Amino acid sequence: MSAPMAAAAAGIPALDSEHRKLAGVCAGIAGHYRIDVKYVRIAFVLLTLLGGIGVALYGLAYLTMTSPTIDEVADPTAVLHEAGASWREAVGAGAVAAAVALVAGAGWQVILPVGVGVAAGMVVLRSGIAQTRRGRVGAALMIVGAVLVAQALPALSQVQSFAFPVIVLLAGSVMLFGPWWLRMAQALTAERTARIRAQERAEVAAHLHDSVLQTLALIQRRADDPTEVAQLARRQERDLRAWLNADETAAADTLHGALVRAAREIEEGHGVEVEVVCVGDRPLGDDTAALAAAAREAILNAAKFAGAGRIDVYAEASDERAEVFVRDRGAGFDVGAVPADRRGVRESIVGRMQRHGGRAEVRSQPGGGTEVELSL
Amino acid sequence: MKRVALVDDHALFRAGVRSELEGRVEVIGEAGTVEDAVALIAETKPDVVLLDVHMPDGGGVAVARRCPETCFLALSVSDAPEDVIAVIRAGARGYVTKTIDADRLADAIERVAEGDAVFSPRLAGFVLDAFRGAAAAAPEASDLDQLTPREQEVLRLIARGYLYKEVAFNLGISAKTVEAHVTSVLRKLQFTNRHELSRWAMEQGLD
Repeated sequence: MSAPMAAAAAGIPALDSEHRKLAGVCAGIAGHYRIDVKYVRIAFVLLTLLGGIGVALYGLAYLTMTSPTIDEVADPTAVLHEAGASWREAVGAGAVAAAVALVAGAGWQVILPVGVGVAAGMVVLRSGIAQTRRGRVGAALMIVGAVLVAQALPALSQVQSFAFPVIVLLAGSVMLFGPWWLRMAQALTAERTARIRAQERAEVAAHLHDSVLQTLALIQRRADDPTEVAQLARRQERDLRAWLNADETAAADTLHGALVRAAREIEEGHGVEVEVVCVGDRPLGDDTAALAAAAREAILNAAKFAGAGRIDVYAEASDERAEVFVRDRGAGFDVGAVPADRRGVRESIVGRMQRHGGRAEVRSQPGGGTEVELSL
Repeated sequence: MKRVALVDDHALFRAGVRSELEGRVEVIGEAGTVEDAVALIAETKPDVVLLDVHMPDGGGVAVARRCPETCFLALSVSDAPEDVIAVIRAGARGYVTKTIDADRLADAIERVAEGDAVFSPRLAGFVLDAFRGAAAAAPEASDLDQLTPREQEVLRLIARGYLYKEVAFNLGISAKTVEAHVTSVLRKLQFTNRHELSRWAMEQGLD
């Protein structure tokens, strides 16, 4: 996803003729990288004081930077086509120039470069490549490079004498075709991004279709049953939230993760809202797993018997200790007179905690809700 | 009745809240964008603004920043810590999630209008988490960077789902004292430089 942004940031800054002092190089750089233009100017001045590097850099920057208005990159394929069509004229002109040099009594050292230079110049004139500033600079470099290569040709055995001319030719071709290459690369990246986007959209559409639209259809059909509708909406909300957030908490092998999973499951099964708040966390060891299981029983109890719409679960955990509170505002009951059929459920909470060296306390009174406190 | 303005970019949600609050508060206006909200608040001077956290053009944070003298209660579908902290630090006096029922919402509006802070259990848990261990780790830290033991007790009970009066009963203090503790926590939350909070604030481009 960050690819297009990276490509945009990597683009060459454009000359800024609106805020320019000289050619707009500093203003262009400042605008592109979002820095204050005065720092850029100071930097160039300081670099100039350092043996003139600043002037050289400024010149280089001027040549490489694009001008937003006049320097539209010509399509190089068209330029090459034009150049190809004019090769006869170019060869002719080069031959004439070489002949003139020969007649004038020059040696091969001069004849060859003159011929090549004139031919290359002819190509440039004919192809219309020199309409922009960049084109002129690139074409000039290409001609100089060609001339230098021609000059080095008679001394074919000395390979190193070709190094400089080749560099000049390369610089010329980068100047001529570089922006076009860059644009091609950017177009490619943009195209790839668009494809990824389309895939993502298809995935989202598929998910919405499978989940949200199904739920909405269900809600319309069950519109006469508010409890059912609320439950459907709540389940869908959880589901969508989990999907949006890639939901790492619920997948985690920790106390928090276990509590969130238990809460989801019970919410779906019993149509209640279970709010889990966790401060700190600890991995799901033997004892912690027992704590989570006891908490699950407590939540389940509240969901089944309390008749409250909402259950608050609060957990606080560190390496030393862990506590879970499960609270509802439902019917409540007299702790001293627990009916026999609920004793078993309480065993699975109190007994389980005791077996793992923990403690469970149930506080409740009829009409006042219930709170179960579990600690390790 | 308290005069309340609704700021939310979803018209449907505004309509829902408006009908829910019917008879409990006086809804004096609605706004769906940051600009409209700022204009509405300047014009009507509501007692409380119910503020959606997620809106185009900067969201509730932008509105809260531009109306510093106003009493905001943030209302959001998100319970992500960074959203909570951003809007609290921008000046909201409370934070509740949109699934809150009408009774609790009306109660929360009354509270923030009276100058109290409103913490949902989730917000209380989050604040405890953010300030956790501060006292032990850095005894020399400023008062703003840590919670007093009493404040921690109060927050813990709120996180457990207790209402203010239940908190007061449980700790053997008055409801006014509970409110004072919560307001003090809110102030710390807004002004502390504890790095967890600062980091979130920075990621939101707030500091």
